[in-house]
Amino acid sequence: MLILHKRIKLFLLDHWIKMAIGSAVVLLIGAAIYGLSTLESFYRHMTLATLPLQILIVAVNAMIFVYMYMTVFRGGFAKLDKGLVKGEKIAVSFNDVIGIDEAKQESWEVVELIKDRRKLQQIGGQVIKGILMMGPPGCGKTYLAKAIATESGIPFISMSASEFTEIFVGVGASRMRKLFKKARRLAEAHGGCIVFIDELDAIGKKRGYSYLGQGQETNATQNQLLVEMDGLKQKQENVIVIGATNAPEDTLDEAMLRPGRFDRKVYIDRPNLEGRESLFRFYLTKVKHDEKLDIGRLARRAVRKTPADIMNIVKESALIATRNKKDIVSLKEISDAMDRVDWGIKHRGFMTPKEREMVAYHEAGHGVILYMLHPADDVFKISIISRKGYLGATMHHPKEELQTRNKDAYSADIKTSLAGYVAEKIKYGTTSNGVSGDFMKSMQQAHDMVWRLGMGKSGLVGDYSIYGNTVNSNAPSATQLAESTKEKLNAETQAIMQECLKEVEELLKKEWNIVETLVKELLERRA
Amino acid sequence: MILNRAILLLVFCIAFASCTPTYPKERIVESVQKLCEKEYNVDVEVVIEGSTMGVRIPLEGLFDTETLQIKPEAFDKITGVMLSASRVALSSDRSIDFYTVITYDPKVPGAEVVMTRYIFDLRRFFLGDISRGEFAKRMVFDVRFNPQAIIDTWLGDFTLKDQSFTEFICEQTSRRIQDEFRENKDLAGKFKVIFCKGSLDGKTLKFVVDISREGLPVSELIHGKAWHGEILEFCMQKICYVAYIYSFKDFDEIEVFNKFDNKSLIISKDEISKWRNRRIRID
Repeated sequence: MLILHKRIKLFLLDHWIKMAIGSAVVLLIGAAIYGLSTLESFYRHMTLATLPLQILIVAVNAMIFVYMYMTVFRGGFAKLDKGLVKGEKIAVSFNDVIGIDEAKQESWEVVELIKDRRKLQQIGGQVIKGILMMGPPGCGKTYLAKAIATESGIPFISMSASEFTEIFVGVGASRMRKLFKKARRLAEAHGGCIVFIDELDAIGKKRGYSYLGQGQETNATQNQLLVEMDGLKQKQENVIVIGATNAPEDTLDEAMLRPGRFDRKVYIDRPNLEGRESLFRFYLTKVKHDEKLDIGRLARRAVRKTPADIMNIVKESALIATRNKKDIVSLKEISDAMDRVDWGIKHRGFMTPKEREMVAYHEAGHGVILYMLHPADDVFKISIISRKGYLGATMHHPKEELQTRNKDAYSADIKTSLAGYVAEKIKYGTTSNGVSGDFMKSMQQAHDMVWRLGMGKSGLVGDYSIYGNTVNSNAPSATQLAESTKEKLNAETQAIMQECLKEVEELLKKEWNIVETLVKELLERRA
Repeated sequence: MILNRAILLLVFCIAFASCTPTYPKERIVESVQKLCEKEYNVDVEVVIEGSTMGVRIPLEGLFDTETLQIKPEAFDKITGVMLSASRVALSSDRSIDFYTVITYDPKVPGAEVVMTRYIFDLRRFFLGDISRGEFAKRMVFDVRFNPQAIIDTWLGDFTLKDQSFTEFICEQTSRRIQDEFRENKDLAGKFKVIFCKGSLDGKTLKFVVDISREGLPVSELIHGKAWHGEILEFCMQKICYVAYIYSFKDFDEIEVFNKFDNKSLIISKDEISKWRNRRIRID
């Protein structure tokens, strides 16, 4: 009864303009009838005879007015063109959310809290006001939000945070007010409403204060969001804000992350091995595929792939199968699809034979060292076909899903990177500019080992990279680091590089036959 | 949807309501009398003859004794009565084509002011089809001495002749010609109009005029030819114009005869449009 009363009230609030117009029309028609009835029949005839023309003139005038209004004002800058999406119409259930089980579990709890709001209030608990979904792109944050809306069965309003940003200060805040006004009314009528704000970092980054007025609009929008979520209001409605962002948590404004606003933080990471298996299994059901496909192998190869990546791989493999006139998707198509997703399109015939040979030695060097020395990664593929700006590539992936890397793994990475340089030098006595990327990567890793991770031999321990760190305002300045310490750290870095170089040279010379064989294979196959 | 239907229903109601005449034919005389009495405090006599409605108004002090013009206050009452007659004629189911308002001064027997209007002109004016100036020109206005009126006044009788469309056309044309010679700035004071009357003689629409040039020596008046043709041609233009605006085609030719010099101009119906479009000349 109370809900019905509220709905009637909401209906009246929603439709008062229509009702006022309708009443005015009826009154005017009544007045017109009365007026006409008092006229003599000739004037009545005359009025009725000219009525169609008058209506036409009024209609033309109205059309001109509307056209001008739409052209000049476009319905006002602060217009909020967001319609309601009913939860049940989104039709994304929790069963459809695959590969992110932990986040799913946390979200399910949220759904239960939304459903049992009354029970929670009876106990004295506070209603959840905000859920912040964080994690890399393509991991299913939006999908999970849709699932929450479907399962909780309450209205869902979806917006992108960029829709609030405008060059005019106050427009974003105005839109925010309108959004929450709408959400509160829906919550009143339906018992709750979910507001989903995608890419929240567009308005949620730490507020800055500038004398020049920079960032005022973003600040105003964020302030409004903060007030709407936990401001002083007469009535607390069941409006739950779900924010999604790829940005790291420490870049977001602290006021927004405090309890009472985004109470829950759901971290949605890339799926683990099991998750990837589930995802491959799910997406492969949508295409005709080889039943003998080893899903576990695919999942192991797809380390650090997001659900969106996996969906893209399967979609791409179906396209490749169609292009190759195959009826089903097999391992080859999926493998090609992975290459394509990771490395881009092949560019055959791009290099001269001599260049190709040099690239083959370079990549063979990488491959042999990776295979022989790396404790964590396996060689997956070596290619001398140019793709995406690379003349060749040695693709590798972790043997198992490790979350940490030790000194050996770092050293192996450096050695693998330097192996291309060493192979070129052994074969030609000189090297090409193809080593620049390898040097950069290996140097960075050696630097990190010494400067940040305490993996040097000098005994210096600590993160020396904080000196002069501009991001951290509490960091000591670069001048506070003694020159002698810098020299020691840099010497240590170079020592690691030289040590690795020496070891790689020795090993490649010793196993040069393998390198030659590999080069021959690469050139023959033009792999 | 419901609102649309309601609006449609209301429009139908209005349309049906508008079909009922305000002044039914049975009460047309009383209606005019009541309106005149109520709105303008004037007692009138009303007679309907054929398709002509006649309204007679006795107005003491109709004419200014010094200027012999109609007094303004008398003219206001006549206008009011004409409006009442118009309203009744327009909103009645009785087919009325003309109405004539005859005003007389009981103290000046036989002198009458006669104003006649064609109802179709009224309709067109109200619908904005003709201008106010043209509407004024379409009224037949005459100040005349009518001996029959003296007899009627004695007998307390009001007799009315049914106005025919041809007569109306002819009277209006005569009136227009006389007014034009009097009011047109190029013609005023140069011509003397003694007489102008038109009628349908068989299939000839004949207009007899007596118009001469003023201020010229007698020899020039008699022998000068240039202005003779101008008068005839001017009159012919007016006749053709009136016939055209009323789509009057019930004739074979038009003749204009000037009694002053016994000259006439005749033009056949087929030649009128060519002449009006200056494709032919007439001598």
